[in-house]
Amino acid sequence: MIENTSSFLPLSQSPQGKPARVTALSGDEDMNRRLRELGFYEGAMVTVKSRMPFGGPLVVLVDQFALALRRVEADVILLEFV
Amino acid sequence: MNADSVFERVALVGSPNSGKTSLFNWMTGLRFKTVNYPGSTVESHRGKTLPVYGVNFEVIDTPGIYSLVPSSRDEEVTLDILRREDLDRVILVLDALQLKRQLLLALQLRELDIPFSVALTMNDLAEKAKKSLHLPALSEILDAPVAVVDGRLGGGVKELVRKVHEQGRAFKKPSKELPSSEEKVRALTQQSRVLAQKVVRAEGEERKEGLDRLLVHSFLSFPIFVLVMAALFTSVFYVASPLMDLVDFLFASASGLVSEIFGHGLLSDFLGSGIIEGMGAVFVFVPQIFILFLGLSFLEESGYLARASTLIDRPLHFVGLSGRSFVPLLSGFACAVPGVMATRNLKSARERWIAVFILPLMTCSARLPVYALLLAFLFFGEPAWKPGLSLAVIYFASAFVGAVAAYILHKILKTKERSFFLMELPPYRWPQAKRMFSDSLRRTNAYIKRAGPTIFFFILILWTLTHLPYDSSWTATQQLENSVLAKIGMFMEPLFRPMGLDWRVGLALLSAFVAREVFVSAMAVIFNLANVAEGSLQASLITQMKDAHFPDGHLIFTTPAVVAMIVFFMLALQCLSTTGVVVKEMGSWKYGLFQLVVLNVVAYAAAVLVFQLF
Repeated sequence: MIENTSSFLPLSQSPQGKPARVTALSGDEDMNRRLRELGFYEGAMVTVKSRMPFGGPLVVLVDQFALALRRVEADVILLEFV
Repeated sequence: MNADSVFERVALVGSPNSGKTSLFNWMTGLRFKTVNYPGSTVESHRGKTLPVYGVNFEVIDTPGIYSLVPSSRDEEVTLDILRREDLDRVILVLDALQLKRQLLLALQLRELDIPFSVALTMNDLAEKAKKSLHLPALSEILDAPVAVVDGRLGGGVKELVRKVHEQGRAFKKPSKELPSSEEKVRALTQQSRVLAQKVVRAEGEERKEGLDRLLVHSFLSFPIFVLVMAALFTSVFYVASPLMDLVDFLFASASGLVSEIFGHGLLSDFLGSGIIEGMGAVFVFVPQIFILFLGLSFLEESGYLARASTLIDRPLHFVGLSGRSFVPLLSGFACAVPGVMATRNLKSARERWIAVFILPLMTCSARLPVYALLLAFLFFGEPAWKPGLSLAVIYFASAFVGAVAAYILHKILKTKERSFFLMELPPYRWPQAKRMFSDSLRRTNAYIKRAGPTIFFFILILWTLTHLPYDSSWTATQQLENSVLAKIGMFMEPLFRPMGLDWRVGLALLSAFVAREVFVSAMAVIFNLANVAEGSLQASLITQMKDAHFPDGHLIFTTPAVVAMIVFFMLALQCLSTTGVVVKEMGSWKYGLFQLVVLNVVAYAAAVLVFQLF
């Protein structure tokens, strides 16, 4: 379980360039499934590479694959910094 | 095996960008476009294996999917093939670099009790990542033969084909559905990860994507995007212009030669002014179209388009679309037909509805000849940057109108559907020049084949109608004014008058409904009845236009009238092939009819407004 909330952030708020581990997905079933299929499973390593301007998508590296996703989608991916 | 054929039917299944289409091309010798953009196979392709491989396979390429739990059209198409086709074998294509993620598909196939062989695609990138894989372990765990294939050079395909052919277990249609519950999916992804750990001996070093630091940089990415697009469209005009002059010169010379050989007469007139000039008016634009296709395929192959889609997602999201619509819309700048077909890739039905509706508003290559003629007329003898800049304004204005239309539809169409944007960014690749060239040639050729016969046919009809009845003592003008065509045109003139046009231009405008570029040929046929000046077809047509006047003596082609015509061409859906494809793709003639009526009524109203207010 999560004890320390300070090390526990949604991907959307994760600082750029800092690797973190996925701890949970908090979306609905459909959203979680799509995210898992693309590699956001519990335990995967994720790094935010950049944020597109004007609130656009995030570019992230998941297990070395570059992916883009919107901030609302990144909101449901919860991370822990190691 | 299938009773009525000696072929073994083999389906290729795999994730987007896993190298399926490359493998398909190697097996069948067919050349389908493989692009470095996720989700480029939108329908299934079929082909037979080359004799070199010594087997008789009918290979089916399926859309790329991440999972066999249906959540989009692509997955449905693939599942349908597995359920309905009389298959003999399934080949699962896995990218060695992405094994961790793609093994999920292998487990799902196993869950569905479908026997398969694995084609492990390795490329130079995989080599560089220094991943060493334990292949016997992979084969054992999956209970499937595994062959390594080089997607770029074709190595290993023979070995794969042999293994597939010799595979012991026959194909069985899946008898059940995959459970889609969160727990099951979670368990399966977990399992695929454990599996991957057994197979991947050493973790590769972190992939360096230096280019991504710039191209998806938080601030620099937008200016770079604008520069890339500007470079694409300027090269379409500047690089193409000497080639266009050459084509123009060739057709003008041919026309001159015809009148020298046949002298003055009906046959000479038909060949020279009708066929050669009519075709020439359109073929002049082939270099431009070729260069546009070349630029598009460079961006696709390099992997930049996926990044550009990401960049543009935010503004597109605002008008009810997503970054995924970027590629269909960009294709629309070449031609709306492939653009409409590319919307199959969109996961959301609503997004597709809007994207297809606004696609005809993108400035397609068929409009280029029209704009080029009208702008050359407006800025005759003036420096080239003026028409160039005006054309850029037309492009931007059209895209802006498209955005406004999308926004209006977005506000009208209520929805509870959530919009997604999850996009894989494939590794950068240096595009292969040979493939880019052959690909652009093929697409240009397809354009010529589609447009050529239609234009030829209409020139034939138009020319005949302008020469019936024929009297050799008439001057060119008298001939036209007494023709059947004139009677039809004059009957319809009240419709064109509010736009500032006479019946002759109105007829050219109407003929553009066959295909927009026909407008230029029609103008050439209708106005160029008099002798052609030596050297350039375009210059002689423009001279004719400058002289054209209404019976009461005032000029037809005034600036307001030409601008009104440009506005009409920007908005109108004057392309019956587009409507045909829309009806087929959307599965609804009501949609096609609605779009046709709305866009044309708006275009007509706007053109009338512009002319009257100017």
